[in-house]
Order: sequence, then C-alpha cells, then structure tokens
Amino acid sequence: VAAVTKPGFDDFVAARSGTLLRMAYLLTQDSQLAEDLVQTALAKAWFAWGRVVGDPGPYVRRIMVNAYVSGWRRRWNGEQPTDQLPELGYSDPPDTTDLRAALRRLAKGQRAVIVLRYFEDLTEAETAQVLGCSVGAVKSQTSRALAKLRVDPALEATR
Amino acid sequence: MNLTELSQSLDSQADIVDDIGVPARLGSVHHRVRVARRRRAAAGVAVTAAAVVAASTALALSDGGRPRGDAPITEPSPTVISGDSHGFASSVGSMELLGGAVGRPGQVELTFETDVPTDRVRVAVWCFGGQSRRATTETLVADVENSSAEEADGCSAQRPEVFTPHDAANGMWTGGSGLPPYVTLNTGAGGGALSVTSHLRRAPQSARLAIAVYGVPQPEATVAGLDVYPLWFDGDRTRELVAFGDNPSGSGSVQVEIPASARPVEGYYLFSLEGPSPGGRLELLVDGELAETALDARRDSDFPSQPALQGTGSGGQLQIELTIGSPHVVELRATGADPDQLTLGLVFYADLGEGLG
Repeated sequence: VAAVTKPGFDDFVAARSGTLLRMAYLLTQDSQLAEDLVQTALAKAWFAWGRVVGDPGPYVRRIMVNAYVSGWRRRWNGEQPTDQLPELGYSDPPDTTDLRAALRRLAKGQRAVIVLRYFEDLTEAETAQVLGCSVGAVKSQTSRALAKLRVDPALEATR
Repeated sequence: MNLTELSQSLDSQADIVDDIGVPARLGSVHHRVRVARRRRAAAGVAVTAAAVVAASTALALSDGGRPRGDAPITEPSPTVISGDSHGFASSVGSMELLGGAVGRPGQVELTFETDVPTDRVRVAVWCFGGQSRRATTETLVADVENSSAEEADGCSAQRPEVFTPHDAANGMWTGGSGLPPYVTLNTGAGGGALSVTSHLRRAPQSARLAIAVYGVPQPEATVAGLDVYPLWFDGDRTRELVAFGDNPSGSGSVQVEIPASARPVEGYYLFSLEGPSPGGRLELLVDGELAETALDARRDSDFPSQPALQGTGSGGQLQIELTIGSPHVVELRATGADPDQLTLGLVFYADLGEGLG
C-alpha cells in the first residue's frame, strides 16, 4: 500500500473544494448555502490540519456532512414569520430537474445517505462512519429515502 | 428511475452549482480562520504560559491504553483499570469501558491510545479542576480509517465523583456546543487502533483533562432512525428496553405490544414529518382508548434521544401511566399528514432505578 502524502491546506482547497461544493450543493440544494457549508467545514478542518493522518478528504467530508445534518446554521431555527418579504437577491434556478424537487422533499439525513451512497459511491459501512451512526440506521434511512423517491410525483414522469 | 440513473442524475444536478472559484473560497476560508483565531487569542493568552508550565505529564489508567505525548510521565501508570475505582464508570447503559487517561493539572494536551474490539466506540473528554466557561477542548480522534474532531466549551470546577459519559443511547451524535464541560464523540471505528488527543485552551492552570473510551455494542434495533440499546442511562436513572416499533413505510400509525412488567414502564414517541401538514396531529391510544390528542409535534430538545437522522422531527416522553403487571397495547398515529412523508416510532423502557444499574 502506497503511503498517502497529505497535501497542504491551500493545495487541498484548490484540488478538492470543487468536489466538496458539488456534494454540498446536493445536500443543501442551494448554491449559497453549499458554499457556506464547504467553507464552514474547511475552516474547522484548518485547525486540525496538522494532526489529520493521511488523506484529509474523508475527514473534511465527515465534518461537512455532520455539520449539514446537525444544522450548522442554527439561526434558522429562530426565524420568525414576517409580513414583509425581503428583497430578492441571488437565487438558484428553479426546480428544472425532477430529481431536485424530489430531493428537496427528503429529510436531511435521508438526503445525506442518498448523496453519500449514490453520488459519493460510499458503501453502507462508509456512510455509517461519515454520519457517526450504525449500518442499520443507514440501511433504514436509505430504504425510506428510496421509497419516498419512488413515489415522489416529481419523478412520476421518469417511471 | 433505477439506482444507476439516480447516480447519473445526482452527478448532473451537482454540475449546476454556482462556483465562486478557488481563490475567492480560499480567501473566505482564511478570513474565517483569522476571525476564529482572534477570538481564541483574545481570551486565551494565558494558555501559552500554561502550556509551557504544564505540558508535562500524563497519568494513564489503562490495561490496554498507551499514554503518549510530549510530556514525560512522572507518575506510575496503573496496569489495570478497575472502573469506578479510578473514577471512570466501568459500564454506562450498554457501553463498556475500554480505557482512559487523566492528565495532570495544567497539562493542555492529553493523548490516549488503545485498541478497540467493537465496531463503535464512544469517546468522552472532560475538563475539570478549574471552572471556566471560556475554556475549550478540541479533540481529535483518529482510528484505523479516519479521523474526526470536535470542540466543546467549558470546564467544571470539581472532579466528578465518577466520570460518566453520555450514553450511546442518548443520541447518536451528542458532540458540539451546548454540552459543557465535556465533549463526547461517536466514531465509526470498525475495530483496531484508536488515538484520542485533546487540547485544552483558555483554561485555568489547575484545569485537567480526562479521556475515556467506551465500546458501544450493536443496537438492539433502529426505530425511526434512532438506534436503541438494551440499556439506557440518561445521566440519572438506568432503563431497560422492553418494547419498540416504527410505522411501516406508507403507514400513518405504529402499534406496539408491551409485555407485563414488574417495573414501571415509560414510553417515548418519535416523529418526523416532511412537508406541510396544516392541521396535522399526533394521537395516542392506550389499549384502544384515546390517551392524548395533542402530542407536541413541534421540534423540541426535551426528548433525550432525538433521532439524529431526522431533520424536522423530534419526540417526547409519553404522559401515560401503564399499569404494572399488565400487558398493554399502545398506538401512535398521525392524522392530517401524508403517510409517505411520515416517520413514527415508539420506544418503551422499564425503569431499573437510580444510578448506573
């Protein structure tokens, strides 16, 4: 087994942050949130960079997914309804893809297992490791998520 | 859409993300790091002095653990852990102590290494001996395949009578803010070598670190996304799992049969509901009779075992009294909600009394 040489932090960001961003986008379904999630994970990883053993990719990915699942933007929970709509800034394109609309309707954890299993191509065990849960939990969440996707009206036409 | 098409669609969808580019991202990340460092430095000048003075010794308490670090060990290491006699609870709920270490006062880095036989471990880190809300522990856990890190705030004044970590049954990921004075990490270690290093910052010189590693068995079941174990210690009492169940996919209710128990049985409900559900309610039936008609279906933090994989759900303790010595049937059902968007679970425990059981 060849030894893995850990890249410098900036080199890692240059080489891998684009991949992380793609994954973050599938998780958050929003470009700005995806960028925020990636930067949150990278900034957190920076402080532990000297102590990370081997390839930092899985480590950063684990930080990012757990941050997403645990709700890294806690302020959202405290949002209050308002009568006045905020000014519209940048917005993502509308749900032009059926899958995007269906993914939006999945719970965070279910979306995470779908992305980890079928975008990152992780095994159930690897997914469980990233999420810090059991393989059984991954199986059940995957099963439920796929069941939801199968009956989602947005994917009706694809069946 | 089959799984291959799903993978291809995910890949295509990821392509539409708006990428600000590496230079801008790198600049933003370094800005965040600078802000975080300034915050830490502003409150942690004394830590440097503490590090020089006290980066000295570690007292390891393990039969399989290997204390390590820059500091020489000046105290003999006991060769056998005997659980409570050294301050670590030998078992917590369904978890068993694998080993641990306690640092000296002022020692700002403590490393504990051990081999773990279980697929899952719970790593607990405490700071004690110097009360400080500003103190932080940053802990890195490295196992055979991966690493994870976590931070926690706060340091308690007194050494606990018994170091007792959060039970694995008490949530799947309980690290992070809001849990001073210690952090508990749940690694996905698949057995093998495990190394835990904790760094202490902004703490008084009298502060000490303690690390313990507990083996976590396979859960008895996964209910509504929550792993449940034969025993659960909530920090006060120990409970034994007696019955559980979750709703079949597409069903709006779950029914659980509870066998007769000689001890008081208490129940908890779990739910997760995606999408709008105006007027949606949760109802509870005990032995066919409507017991509660307005279970709190809002997200809250009171339930001790929030299903970590659910983004919008929560749960709570059922305010019902089940007659001791009699079997019961409890049903939780949702009205006004799309069953396909719904996850329901019921878990029942017998109360074994105060303490670690």
